Amino acid sequence: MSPGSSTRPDLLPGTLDMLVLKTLLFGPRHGHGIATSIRQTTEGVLTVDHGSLYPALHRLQRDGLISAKWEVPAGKSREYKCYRLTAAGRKHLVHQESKWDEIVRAITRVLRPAPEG
Amino acid sequence: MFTRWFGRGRRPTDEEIARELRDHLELEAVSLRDADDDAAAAARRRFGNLTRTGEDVRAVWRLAWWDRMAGDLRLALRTLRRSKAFAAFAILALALAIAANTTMSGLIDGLLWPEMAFPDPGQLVFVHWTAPRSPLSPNVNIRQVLGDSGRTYSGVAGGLGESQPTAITVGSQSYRVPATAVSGDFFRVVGSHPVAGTLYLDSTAVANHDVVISHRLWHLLGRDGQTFTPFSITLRNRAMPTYGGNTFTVVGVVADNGAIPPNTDLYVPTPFFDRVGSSALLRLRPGVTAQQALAELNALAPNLDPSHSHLAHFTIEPAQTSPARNLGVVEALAAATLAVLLIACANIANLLLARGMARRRELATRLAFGASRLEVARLLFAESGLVALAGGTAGLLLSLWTIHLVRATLPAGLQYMGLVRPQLSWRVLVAGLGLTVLAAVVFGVAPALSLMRTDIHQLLKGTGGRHSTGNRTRFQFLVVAEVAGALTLVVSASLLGAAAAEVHTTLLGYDTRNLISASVSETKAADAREAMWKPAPSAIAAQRATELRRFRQMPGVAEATASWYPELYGLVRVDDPGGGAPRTFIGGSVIREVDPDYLRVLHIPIVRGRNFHEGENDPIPSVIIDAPTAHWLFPGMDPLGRLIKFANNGQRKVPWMRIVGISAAVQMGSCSEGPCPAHTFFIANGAGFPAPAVGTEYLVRAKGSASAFLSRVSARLSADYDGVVPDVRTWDDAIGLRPIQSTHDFVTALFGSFSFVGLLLALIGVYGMAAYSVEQREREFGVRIALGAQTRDIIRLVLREGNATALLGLAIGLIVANWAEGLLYSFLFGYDAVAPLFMAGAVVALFAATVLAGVPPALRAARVNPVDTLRAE
Repeated sequence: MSPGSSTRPDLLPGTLDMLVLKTLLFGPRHGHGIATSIRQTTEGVLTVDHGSLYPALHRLQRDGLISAKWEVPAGKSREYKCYRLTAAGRKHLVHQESKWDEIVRAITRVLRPAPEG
Repeated sequence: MFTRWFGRGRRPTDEEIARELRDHLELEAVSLRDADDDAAAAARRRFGNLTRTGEDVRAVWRLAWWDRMAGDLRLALRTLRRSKAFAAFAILALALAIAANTTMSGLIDGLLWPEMAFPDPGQLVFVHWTAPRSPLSPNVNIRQVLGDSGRTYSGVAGGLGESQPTAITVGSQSYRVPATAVSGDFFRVVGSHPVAGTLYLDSTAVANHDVVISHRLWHLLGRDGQTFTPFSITLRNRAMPTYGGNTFTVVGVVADNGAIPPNTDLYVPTPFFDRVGSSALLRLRPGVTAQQALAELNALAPNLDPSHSHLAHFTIEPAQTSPARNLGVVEALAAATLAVLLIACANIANLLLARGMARRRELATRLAFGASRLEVARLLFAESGLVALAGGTAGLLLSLWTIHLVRATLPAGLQYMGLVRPQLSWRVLVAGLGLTVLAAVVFGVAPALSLMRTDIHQLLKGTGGRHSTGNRTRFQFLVVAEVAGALTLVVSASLLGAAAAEVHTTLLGYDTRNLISASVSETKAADAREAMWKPAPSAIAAQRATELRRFRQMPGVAEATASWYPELYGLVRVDDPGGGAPRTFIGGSVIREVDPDYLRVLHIPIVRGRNFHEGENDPIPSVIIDAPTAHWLFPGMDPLGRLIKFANNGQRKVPWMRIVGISAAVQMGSCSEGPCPAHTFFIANGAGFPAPAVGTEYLVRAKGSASAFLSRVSARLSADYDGVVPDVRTWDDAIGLRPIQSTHDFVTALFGSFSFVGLLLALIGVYGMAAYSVEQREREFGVRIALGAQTRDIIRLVLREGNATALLGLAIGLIVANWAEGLLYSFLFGYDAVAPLFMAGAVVALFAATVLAGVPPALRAARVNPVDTLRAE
């Protein structure tokens, strides 16, 4: 019963973590803010539902990649549980991004082979 | 990796998780209001079940290791509850083994690191001053330079650090107790506290004739429990320097472990030690090491004898030396405990392996359902951990009781045999805890390893299950070990039992019934060292003859004889041309010059040669040695007619003596203060050796009870020897037979219980192996029965397999038992000669027992219904 099993198949395994970390790179945010940010950034292509998001957030927190704190975000009137990137999370993100770039390049090479010659 | 295991973040409460998700829902509702219709619909579709999400979030945190461990333990507990018989037996076996081991380590711990009832025993040291070639060495007074204290030491006292057997009389009762000579300020320097009365603290004790006794002696005198009042005792030890009479006043009682050396019952202050000779007892200041003290002392050393200063130095040794004298007993007991532990371990391993085999299907199913091998191994480990924990706890609790029991039943004489009261120190508890942890690891790892090799597909298909026979060899080796261990224990216990029974009858090799030993000193002085006057040898001989004649005519006396001590020591030599042990120290020998009737009166059989007769006046004196001595000096040779002589360190001219006879093995010396003397020399009357005035020992055999006759013998000697107080005791008391008896009984009881537990475990092992094998081969038996095999054939088939294993175990056990017998040698008193008989008996008995243990499974095999087994295919 691995906790990652509830990740929706419309995202590649592991991508959700990367997207969450990347979103948090621009500042602390609460869970809904992260989901909204991902949806808006991808113009509605990628939507993250709470069933995937919260287990992922807690897993990242457990592993020390993000930290959580109840605080009042800008423009709100009460406390929400806000997540922010830790140093370990930042490092992890850089690593994941370079890996992702590699995969994208590889897939691109398969889908659109460079013309010969 | 570390953070992955332990988790960086704090685990959120359920309330927090719920609140976070409620917030999400609220925010989502707000955003849906603002969004266009398509997106809102899509979002609503994906709204999903919030409860389920909360569950998933909690699951993320639940994977922390302690949660997993708790889960494993819960599962293990449930599994164990389902197999109660297995759990109960494994825990019982472990508890017994750990209790036996803890008790034994408590005994050994008390022996090696006795707990002391005075502060800082480690800071007490003995210092010795030596200066080679200094004529002052023996008579120097080191207190002159040591003073009362120094930079590194806070107190100086005199003491021997060893005790000697001493005869004391309290009222009309005589006892033989270990005593030590000390200085008057000994207890002040040691820091002892009185249990009752007061302890003397300065040199006035010497003039007052004050002594202090141990709590043990106080108890022996039957005075503990009463209010302490000073009472007087009389000392009779010619080697103990006493001055101004030998009547003392007991002023106080000190705990058994309240001073040094431990196991001393009497502390006698002497002026000799008040002056402090070339040795002293120092109390080092706290934190000072022996090396630092030595540095200060050696700066003082040359002052004692300036003319030999360049070689003068001090040596230093810890005062708290081990009281161990007879480590063989401890080794034997430790070996017995180890054997029980090994048998128990083999048994539990056997059980777990058999269970592991039976559970392979279950475990394989778990693996097939996605559990990792690590998870299954962790589960097995949790099971064994639980068993070990329960067994260890029960074992430690049990050992509290057994240690108490051993302390209560430990005979006093045992202390002289080198055993002490067991104690429960942190070392012992750590040993018990270590055993428990070790058991958990070993028993957890064995099935886990076997699991790692398991082929799941084979197992689930069933081919690895019911009819494989290859695994049985693994159990056989464990059962072989169990049977071997049990045989060793049974042989040792029965040999000890036989020897113990013999101690009560004719252990010593001669007839001790109603025998009285009456020792008397021919000098009038209380202390032989002070004796200036010594009667002429001829006068002593004449008085001895008169005395013997009077005893023989005394009404109520059956027979009487006498022996005395010639001054012979050092090396014993045998005549050169014939070969034999050339020059050997006579340590551990009894050498007596005897009346011609001596061997006849004691009923000592002459094995070869002749007995003494009246008027031996050969220019070469005759000597009779006992059989072990003959074997010692002349291995494989005929000693009759050979010549031996004692070297006496070359101080006196000692004549050669001729061996005229060999007696049966006898034990003439006292065994209560150390190992029994191993060799005996009887020298004919009239050999004319120089004799010290240590006296004559008359042996009088009463017609009735010896103890009732003691006072009459005592009165007669007192009258004839001009008021000298004779030492009159029954022979059994004189030779210290009672402590030997009680020690034997104790050791035999210990071995008996160990071997009973070991035997029981081994039989269960044999039974378990047979039962397991029958279960594995059920189908085979079904087929055999279907093909016409008779009940008889099946039973024979099962038993044959068990018998082969048992016989192998017995063969190995014989070898080990033979070796174990060597450890027990000092306890067997020549009983090792009959060892083969006992071994044969034990082998037969054990074999019969193992056959019986295999019968129930064999019967079960014979009752297998072929229809059932074949249908189960």
